[in-house]
Amino acid sequence: MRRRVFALLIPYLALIGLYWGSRALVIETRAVEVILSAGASASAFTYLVALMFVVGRLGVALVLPGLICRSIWLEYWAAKRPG
Amino acid sequence: MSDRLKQVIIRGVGWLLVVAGMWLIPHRVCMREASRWYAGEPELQGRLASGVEEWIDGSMSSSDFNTGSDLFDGEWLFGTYMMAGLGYGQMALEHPETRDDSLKVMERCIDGMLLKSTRDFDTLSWGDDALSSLSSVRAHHGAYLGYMNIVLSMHRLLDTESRFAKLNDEITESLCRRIRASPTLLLATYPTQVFPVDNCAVVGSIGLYDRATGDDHRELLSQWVDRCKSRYVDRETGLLIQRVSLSGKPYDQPRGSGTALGLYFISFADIDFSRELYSSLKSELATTCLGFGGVREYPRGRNAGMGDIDSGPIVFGFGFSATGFALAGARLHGDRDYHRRLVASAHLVGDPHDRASGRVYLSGGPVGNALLFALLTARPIDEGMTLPVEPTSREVF
Repeated sequence: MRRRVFALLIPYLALIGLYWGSRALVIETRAVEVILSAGASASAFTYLVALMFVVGRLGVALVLPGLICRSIWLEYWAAKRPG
Repeated sequence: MSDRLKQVIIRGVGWLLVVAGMWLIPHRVCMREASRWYAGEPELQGRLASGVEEWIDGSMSSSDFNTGSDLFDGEWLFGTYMMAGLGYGQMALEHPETRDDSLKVMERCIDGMLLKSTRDFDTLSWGDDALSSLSSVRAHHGAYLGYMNIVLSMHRLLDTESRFAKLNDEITESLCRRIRASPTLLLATYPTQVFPVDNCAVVGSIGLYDRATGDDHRELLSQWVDRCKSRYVDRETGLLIQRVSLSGKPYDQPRGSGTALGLYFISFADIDFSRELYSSLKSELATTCLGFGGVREYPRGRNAGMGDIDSGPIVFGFGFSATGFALAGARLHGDRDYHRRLVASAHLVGDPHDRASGRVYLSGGPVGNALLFALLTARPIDEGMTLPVEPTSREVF
């Protein structure tokens, strides 16, 4: 059971980790601001940080609540399944 | 029911729950501060003010901006000082207990706007200095002087003994003379470029000047507003045309960013015209998506351009600038419901980061934070003029 819960949480924890990690980098490098203003002249590293931040932010703020609802629903039915 | 069918239904419901979760939860989380912003809570405004003050007190220069164009870097530096100054002025008006502190920062903003290095973007474009050629009507310097004057007039409104009073008088007099001398009643931003939105700032600065000094330019302002409604507002949509030629003919489409910002600045001179523009913006461009407010840059059915430095990124038709600028109109005109949705969008995209020294919106940088500060603290310059506008936003998914 513990292993199952852990496996279930890993993708969500990874998403949250991606967001907070990239957020810390954005605070240091102002990467999103640089992309918004500089566009093509920004470095590849800046693009990577900004991309991780955008994916993490949208993932955590927009998609995560729905995914958690889905997981709870599926787990409920899995628990009811015999065996 | 077979096991297989049952599994398909369970999985289908699972994905429906993902959609329902996206639809019902995120915007509510992101709009949790919206009521406080709408009510003008001093603690919240003060937090953002402190964050903006850090930019103002730092050694900002145009090299802090990375637009790839010296002109736009200069504009953004100037715009950071200008919108921050306006934000501090609005905060002082709404919370008189912050007046003394706000005035000090506002003066640092004005000093920043007056620096030669900050004026360079305008000087290089026109070939002469805006402040040394105030007696001329040849070079308009419409944007630099208009935006500068709006902050000077706001400062004068708060401090009748303003040390910038003489400059405020001279610029206002110069702007009025140039408007009267212009066949289109418009001032050019740069030698061949005329933007009605920048002229809304010019006219708003004169309206604010009249409030501060008791002077009377009502005839000129009324003439300008009539001309703007008949020539520079799109008849079909009621939106402000983004750019016109030197002879006043449309050179671009009516757009969200120009209309949303223009209605904010013109509110300082004519709140009724501002309300008309806001109503058009609501009916033509304002929508919601997953509960978040979004303002389109281009009207539906028009050839949507790729956007530009003014519109910011355009995603699925929604303009980042248009959506942010509309925050001011929603609060100015008492549209509480849409204001909440726009605050939710600003929260989602801006990602506020609170630290001991104040709040910073991570995606904004200096100009984005200064803009948000001014737009979130926008209020009717005369309380009591505001009337609630019924929400007409369309739900799109």
